[in-house]
Amino acid sequence: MMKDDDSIERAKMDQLAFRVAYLIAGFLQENLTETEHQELDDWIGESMDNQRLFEDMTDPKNLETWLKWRENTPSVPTLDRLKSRLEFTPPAKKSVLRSFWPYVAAASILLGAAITFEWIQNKAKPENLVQTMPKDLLPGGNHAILTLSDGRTIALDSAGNGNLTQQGNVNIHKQDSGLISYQVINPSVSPGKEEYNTLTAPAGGQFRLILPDGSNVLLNAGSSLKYPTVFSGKKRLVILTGEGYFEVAKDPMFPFEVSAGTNTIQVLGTHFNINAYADEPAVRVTLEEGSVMVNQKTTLTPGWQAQISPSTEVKTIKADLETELAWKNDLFVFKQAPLDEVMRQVGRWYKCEVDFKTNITDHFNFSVSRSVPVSKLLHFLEETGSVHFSIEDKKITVMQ
Amino acid sequence: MRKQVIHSEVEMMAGFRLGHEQSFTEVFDLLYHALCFYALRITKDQAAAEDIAEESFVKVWERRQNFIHFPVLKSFLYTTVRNASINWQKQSTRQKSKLIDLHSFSENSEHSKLDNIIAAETLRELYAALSNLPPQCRKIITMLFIEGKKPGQVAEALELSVANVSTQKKRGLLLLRKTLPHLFLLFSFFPF
Repeated sequence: MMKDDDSIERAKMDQLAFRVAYLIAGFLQENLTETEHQELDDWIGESMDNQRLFEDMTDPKNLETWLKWRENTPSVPTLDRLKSRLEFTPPAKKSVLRSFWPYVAAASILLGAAITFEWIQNKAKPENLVQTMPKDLLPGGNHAILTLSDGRTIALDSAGNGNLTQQGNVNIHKQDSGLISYQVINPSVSPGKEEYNTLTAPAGGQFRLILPDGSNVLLNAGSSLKYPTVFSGKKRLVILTGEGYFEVAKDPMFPFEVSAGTNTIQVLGTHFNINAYADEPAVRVTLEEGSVMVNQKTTLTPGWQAQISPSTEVKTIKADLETELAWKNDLFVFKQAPLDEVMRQVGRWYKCEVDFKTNITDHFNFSVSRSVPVSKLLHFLEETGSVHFSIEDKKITVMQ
Repeated sequence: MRKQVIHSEVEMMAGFRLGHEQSFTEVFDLLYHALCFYALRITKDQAAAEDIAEESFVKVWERRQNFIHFPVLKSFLYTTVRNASINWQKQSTRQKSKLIDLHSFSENSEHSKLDNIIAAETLRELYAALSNLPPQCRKIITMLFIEGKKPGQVAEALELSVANVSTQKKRGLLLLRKTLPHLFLLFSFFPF
């Protein structure tokens, strides 16, 4: 298969136009981040022509005319005509497997053939990875270290499933390769004073935790959570560094509170994500369900995000749940993301350093499973034609 | 299900390369109006714009195996439409009058090319936000504000009570205010 170098060149030129359109549309919908707002302002300030275009695009009269025009331009007749003009390949029918149950063996050979076919298709792509990436990096997995209140540590990777240890009235139980839970042994015994444990997912690791109140926390790579083995105070306080996705058990009598750096997030019962990595420009609290309050003044509604950067007040924007929560669904999803943002996530998950030999200004859109080796992800980025990578000794070098 | 939604763009492109009708339809639905709009900005002729947009899909389908990334595909389509529009303009000008000279082809400049793409893409993004409204709600909003129908007419056409229409209208406006605040300003000029 030939690579269309021309179209890649063209795409690079149009990239700017797509980006500006994304920013203007985001401006109209009031969901730009601080950085994106600045970027749009810079673009508008570049020339009178840009300013005129921006005013043109945000003028309600124009928008009304255009949307009316669109409603009056039907697309179905054209689509039907195109479908009769063009040839299509019927997609492979996977349902064959189920309806011919007795022929499973034969069908699985067919399926095998289909997979091989797909594989050949993939192989037919320009595959210069073999030369550019002699060393690959494997994806992260279920790795974590548990630190008990007396300072002892347990490497959870090597620990077998079952009861790990007992902390006072609580059993710490490893349920499967990526999950530990805290279970109160005797509910009638008074809880006593709170003793803190810490769960740490290193770079290249993630781990799930069920707290004694039944709340569920998934920790992303390079993160830790400090929490009491029993909740006996007026509130359920936990301390987060890095990123965690929380599903908090409802208990209005004992509010749940997450402390992340200098920020506090108060919760009744809800699902939300906190991204508080020290190397990210802002702490981001994204609400999926329920309600949370950030720093005692900003209440979030579902689908919204609070951004807290050191220089500014709390800012709320409409969240893109697909990208914010992608990691908990075992995915990387990037929409109009600058390369440094992509590479920060790569560095954490593939446990490597990233060295920028050059500044890449393009923005990237792609999604890929978190279980692929790093070469596949980097290959996606290289296909845009605007960046190249090399891997050496757990270090990825970014080049033009 | 959720994963399927998330993977959509990558899967769409994979299906497109393999020649699947479903993926073709997805690409068409995403881009047809934007390409039409772009052609219209250059040709100022609705029928010509529709033809040019249609032909661009034939052309891209012939080369479907070359496209791995959606932005590259999009860029190819815009370029195809632009070239075809400029050609059309030259020909139709020749037919009308042989005297009009080069300075009328302002679309040749690199700047106006990008401007028109920015305009087409901005509207594409906005329309996508509008289509995120629940189907019936969106239909009511469209009939009321874009087609200019009266609540009574909408209720009759959709076999709903007038009360239901105004409830949905309020709900839609609330959602729209979040996605299209400037448009909401415009809508608020209409009497309730």
